[in-house]
Amino acid sequence: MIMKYIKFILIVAATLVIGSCSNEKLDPNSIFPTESPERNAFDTWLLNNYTTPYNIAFNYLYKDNDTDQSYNVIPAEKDKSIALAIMIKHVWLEAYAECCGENFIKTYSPRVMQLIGSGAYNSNESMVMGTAEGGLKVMLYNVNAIDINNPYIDVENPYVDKTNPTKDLNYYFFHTMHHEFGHILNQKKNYSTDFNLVSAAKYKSTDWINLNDADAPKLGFVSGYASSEAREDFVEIYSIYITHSEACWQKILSDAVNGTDTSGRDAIIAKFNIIKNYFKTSWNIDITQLRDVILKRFEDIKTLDLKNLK
Amino acid sequence: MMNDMKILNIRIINLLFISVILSVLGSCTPEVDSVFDDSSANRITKALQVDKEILQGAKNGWLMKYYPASDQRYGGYNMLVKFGTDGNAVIACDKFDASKTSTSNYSLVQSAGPVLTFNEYNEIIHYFSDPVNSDGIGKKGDGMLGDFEFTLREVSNQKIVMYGKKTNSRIEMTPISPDTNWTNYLKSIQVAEYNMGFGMYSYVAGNITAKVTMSYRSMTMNYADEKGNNISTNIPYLVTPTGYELYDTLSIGNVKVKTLTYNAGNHEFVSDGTGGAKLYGIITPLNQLLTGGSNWYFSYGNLSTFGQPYWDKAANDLYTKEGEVLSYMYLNANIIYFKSGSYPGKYTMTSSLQGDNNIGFKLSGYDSNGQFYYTNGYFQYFLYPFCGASGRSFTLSCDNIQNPTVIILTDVTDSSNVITLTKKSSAPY
Repeated sequence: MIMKYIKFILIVAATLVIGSCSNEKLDPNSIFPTESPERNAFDTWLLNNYTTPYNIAFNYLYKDNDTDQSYNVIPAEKDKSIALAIMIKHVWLEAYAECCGENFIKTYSPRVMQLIGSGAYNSNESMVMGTAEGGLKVMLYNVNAIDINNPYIDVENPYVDKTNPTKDLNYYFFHTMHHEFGHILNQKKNYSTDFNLVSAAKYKSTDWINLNDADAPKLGFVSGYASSEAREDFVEIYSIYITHSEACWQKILSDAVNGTDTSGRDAIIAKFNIIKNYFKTSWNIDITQLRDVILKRFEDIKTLDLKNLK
Repeated sequence: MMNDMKILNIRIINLLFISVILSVLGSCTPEVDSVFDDSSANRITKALQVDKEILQGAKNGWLMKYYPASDQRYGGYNMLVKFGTDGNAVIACDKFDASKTSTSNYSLVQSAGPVLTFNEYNEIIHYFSDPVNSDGIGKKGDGMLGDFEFTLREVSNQKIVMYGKKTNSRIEMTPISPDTNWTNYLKSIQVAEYNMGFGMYSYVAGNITAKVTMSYRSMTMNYADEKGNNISTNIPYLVTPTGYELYDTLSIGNVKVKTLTYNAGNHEFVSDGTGGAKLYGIITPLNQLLTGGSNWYFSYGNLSTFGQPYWDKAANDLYTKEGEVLSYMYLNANIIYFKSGSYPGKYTMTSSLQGDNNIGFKLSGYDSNGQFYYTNGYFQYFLYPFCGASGRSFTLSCDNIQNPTVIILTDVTDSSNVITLTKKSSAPY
């Protein structure tokens, strides 16, 4: 009797439970638009030269959510954005593609390049050169300062006058991009910790700002910023080496000698050898060969058509 | 034994009952009717489409009353904007040459509501947002602090109300009538602004009289309220072809005022509403104007060859000994304000006024930074052409007596010492 009662209750329960399930249909339409946006000639060029081959979003229009809201900045001029897109493709993307293979740059390049017309200024009026966030996005400031009629790339002067910045594209863009890209590569494959020991006692942390670039070599650094910490030191040596001439590199090394004291030069050479070895063994990149490719491509810019998209 | 079985069975039944109730309750889906009939993504897409059609619908464009900076300290600017169907906006502004336009991309995007963004560089609108303003307005990194992204709040064919995304300044747009010529309209504003400009004003509302000076497009009113407290308030405004339109409704002496209409015949501005408040343009004697509360800027290029060698020495010493550069120096109500490197300071003057066009200045005090730069031999030289060691007297002249933008000081005892002070801010070097 009792067992029957229990069975009855179970059936009722099962019916109720099944019946109470309601079946809501999903909306078959995606909320994300699937139609292609309207594209102007530059947008189409970017699709064919950045997005499709490299999976890079080249944001020449200002996008609020890709921008640091704590700075007051303005959008980039279109003709200057076009010139920069042509130049970055030639001296940056294709330099790595030539030297390290298409797949290398396709795999590791940052996915977003956001252009900004003006500089970004901190409250002490110092200027931010560029930032790379987690290897994903590179911010390129000061695009409106580019002189598209006379593109100027200085590969000879290791010490740029920061109180009166020139229109040097190397300083503003290319050196900065290689610097940030160096961080991305370091995040993927670590370098030997021996590197951190070479100048361990000399890093200045935030006080790097008080070290002039020209005074840095004697302390064993290639720039003032390199003296902030080991990982910045690493990418500064890398980016300055591959974007400057051999004569410029030798100038840094000779400036690193203080009378009979060669400790500065020795430190730079020791660190450079670790870096050269790291790129050879971890990435199969000969950085001297990479430098030659980059410098040759810098030369090409003088004759490159920066106004017409091809 | 049998009894025990029964008790156990009843317990099982109880447990089953409870589990049934729980599972039935748990399986209920709380079905709630949606407040909106469509998803938020679809609704914003539709809203942006409607907004875009309205923006593009004004065939002769919109008059945008643009106020940069969150405190509207620079006042308002008349921006004429035509939104094309090709995604480009054509912009003109009364701050620029009346016939000048600049064209660039605009977009309507979703970002906490519909946002209108001018996302490609435009020489006119981004003049107000550039962190390094091309006329040197505002500090480096700030400029005029203007927005170029606006959150749309009210959108109709007759009026659009939007707010600057960073500044939250209210910005309204009204359609420009089809027969209005842009250039002529902006010219009429520029002519009106010149004609309505006075070195000083006085504002009378109820039984309160305020002393008014203007900087950029913002009035500073100084008055004593009913209780005798001294009040200083800033009133940002926009110039119209007929007068001034205030950003906020002004309420002084219980009189509410939104617009002031100029009457050229008697230099008076009549307020709207019934309160009878009036703004009076005052032609002020130059010596009173110079000490009246506007900034009058010094610069090296505006000194005669008498004063320049002293400034050369001071600037050179300042740079070599302190590593500093003078970034501004101006006179305001008998006080000279300056900033050397990152150190601001001031010098207090005693002035003596004779007639309308003569004035004498003598140094009478300084703050601690002022003391440092004076006793270390820098401002002794910067101030030398202006007040010497024991004071100087000048004859004053200007460019436009109704509203001087420059005042020229000629030393009474040595006419080779001429100092030109400008109302427009200017860097010393």
